[in-house]
Amino acid sequence: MADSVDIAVLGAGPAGMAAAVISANAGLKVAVLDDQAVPGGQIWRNVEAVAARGDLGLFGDDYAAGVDAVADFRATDVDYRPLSRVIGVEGADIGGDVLYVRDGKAGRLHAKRLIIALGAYERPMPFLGWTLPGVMTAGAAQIALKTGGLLPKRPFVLAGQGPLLLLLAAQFRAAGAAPDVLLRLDDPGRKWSAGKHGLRALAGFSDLLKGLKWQRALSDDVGKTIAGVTQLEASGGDRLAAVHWQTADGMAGEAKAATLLVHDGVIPNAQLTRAMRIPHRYDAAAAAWSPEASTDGQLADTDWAYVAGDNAGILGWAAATATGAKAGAAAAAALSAKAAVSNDVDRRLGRARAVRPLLDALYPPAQAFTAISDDTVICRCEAIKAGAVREALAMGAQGPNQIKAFLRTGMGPCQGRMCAYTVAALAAEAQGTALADTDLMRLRMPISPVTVAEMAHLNETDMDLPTA
Amino acid sequence: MLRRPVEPEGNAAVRLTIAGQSVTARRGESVATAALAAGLQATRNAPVSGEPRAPYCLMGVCFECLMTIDGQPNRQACLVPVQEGMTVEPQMQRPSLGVSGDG
Ligand SMILES: Cc1cc2nc3c(=O)[nH]c(=O)nc-3n(C[C@H](O)[C@H](O)[C@H](O)COP(=O)(O)OP(=O)(O)OC[C@H]3O[C@@H](n4cnc5c(N)ncnc54)[C@H](O)[C@@H]3O)c2cc1C
Ligand code: FES
Repeated sequence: MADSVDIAVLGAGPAGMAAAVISANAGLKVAVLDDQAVPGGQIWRNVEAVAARGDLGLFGDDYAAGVDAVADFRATDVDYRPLSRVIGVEGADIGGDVLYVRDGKAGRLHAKRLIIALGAYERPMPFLGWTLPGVMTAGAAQIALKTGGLLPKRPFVLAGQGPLLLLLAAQFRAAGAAPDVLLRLDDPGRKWSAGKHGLRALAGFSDLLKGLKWQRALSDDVGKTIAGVTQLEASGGDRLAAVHWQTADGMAGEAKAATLLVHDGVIPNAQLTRAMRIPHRYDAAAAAWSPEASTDGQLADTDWAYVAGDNAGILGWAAATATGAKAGAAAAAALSAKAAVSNDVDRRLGRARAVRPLLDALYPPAQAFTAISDDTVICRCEAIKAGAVREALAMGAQGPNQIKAFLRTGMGPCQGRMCAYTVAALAAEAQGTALADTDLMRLRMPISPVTVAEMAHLNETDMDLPTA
Repeated sequence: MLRRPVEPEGNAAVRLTIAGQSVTARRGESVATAALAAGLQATRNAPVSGEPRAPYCLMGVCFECLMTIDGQPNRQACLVPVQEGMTVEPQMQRPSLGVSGDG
């Protein structure tokens, strides 16, 4: 018998859980698919277990807010399917199928409405040596701390920019592992442009205070902080041995390191909406592409699919709970069910939107002012260097899709998650165009490799078979 | 790159074998973090260049954590929770010359 629900929600983070709770409470049959073992998404990773082991204090109030949100989600009769990896969507005009892999078997779930809330991931920041074991993202280390209770080995260098970088530094410090060296890749010219956003940001004032508090707490314990870093390099043989840097005013330095964690902000995880061929727009302030959608989150060019949370554009967890609730209510209304949205929703969203221009202006991606040398690997899967991409462009490759055809960038298992933005930036640089006028390379489903054995469990699909 | 300051005990402890070594991990963590905490330097060789690689994102994005878990190759170890009695092997084969399947 066909597996079928009223609403399928993809992702069990703040946005997906809010969408599921509101539509289930409206009396609809709702399923939530998520690739993690427990609900919570990125911010609230493993929050139930962390609360049970008494470690909530390490992560701050925003993390602790996840305890109630996850409990509310668990209290509904939502059909929650953990460890389920979404690989594609086959849309009809109204309603369609979600394809996913769970426990080594591909499955197909039919839904009348679809809510996509697959969150964000950290902006890839290529530099010489970033493929060495010993280098990972700061968010990855946060996941290891929340789930396994693991800490970075010393000497520990933390490098990058953005509000999350400071939060993560504060969390490692609380767990007893303050960085030995903090390298800040903040835009040297940023104070200029940030000022004019100050007033609008007052609405989100408490968020800014939080940032200042972290910064102050940090300066006490971090071994040393270097500001204005514009070049970063990791060196070693089979693994990381040292980190080298240069600042805007020409100072060079280096430190021995066992761990280098890097962070350059987060970008929407738009693999699925891109593979669905939804139009995407480049938001220059956020330096990111996001899917076009109505204020309710209904995706452009579809009648049945919605997007919510950071997947729709980065606004953080509080806004994600709001956009999730709005999309859930809109999808429920489209199925003639009545959902009760609290008045609080628009206030939360307004606050997050008000503070965003200031955050964007304060924390532009380091890539915007850091040169990528020809020797830097930009596609990790296929080990392709920036120089090869520049050469292809000089020989007439017209843009990201032709570079992909020439060099195989984006054709490895990660399907361009790690290189798509960099390839677009290199193409824009060579052609002297704005990023807004450059496309990301095209994507196809399945959005994650699947094996023949996994696919054998599906009777029919339009997707091309295995890529693993 | 990562260390385990406190050994999990009792119900929180999960025993598995990683690269032939018996290790204790914490229930709820992934095979990838258990491998890192066990001191495994690299989880695989990059198929094209052969250089050693280790988990980079721990959230299913980078595919650097592909390992052989209970005999099944190419599993994303950061998306697989540890389970009692699992056997995990890194994928350190030499690069295959001139052959790379279609993406
Ligand atoms: C590593 C990381 C750490 C972060 N830490 C913080 C923090 O500490 N504090 C903070 O304020 N913000 C943090 N953020 C920002 C974060 O994006 C938001 O705060 C918030 O988590 C967004 O909620 P969301 O519901 O939109 O998405 P998410 O919380 O990201 O939820 C999306 C869910 O979808 C799942 N998923 C993704 N792809 C698939 C797929 N193909 N199939 C099935 N499931 C899938 C994910 O595993 C996740 O569970 C972090 C972001 C990242 C990337
Ligand atoms: S560590 Fe990146 S996908 Fe597993």
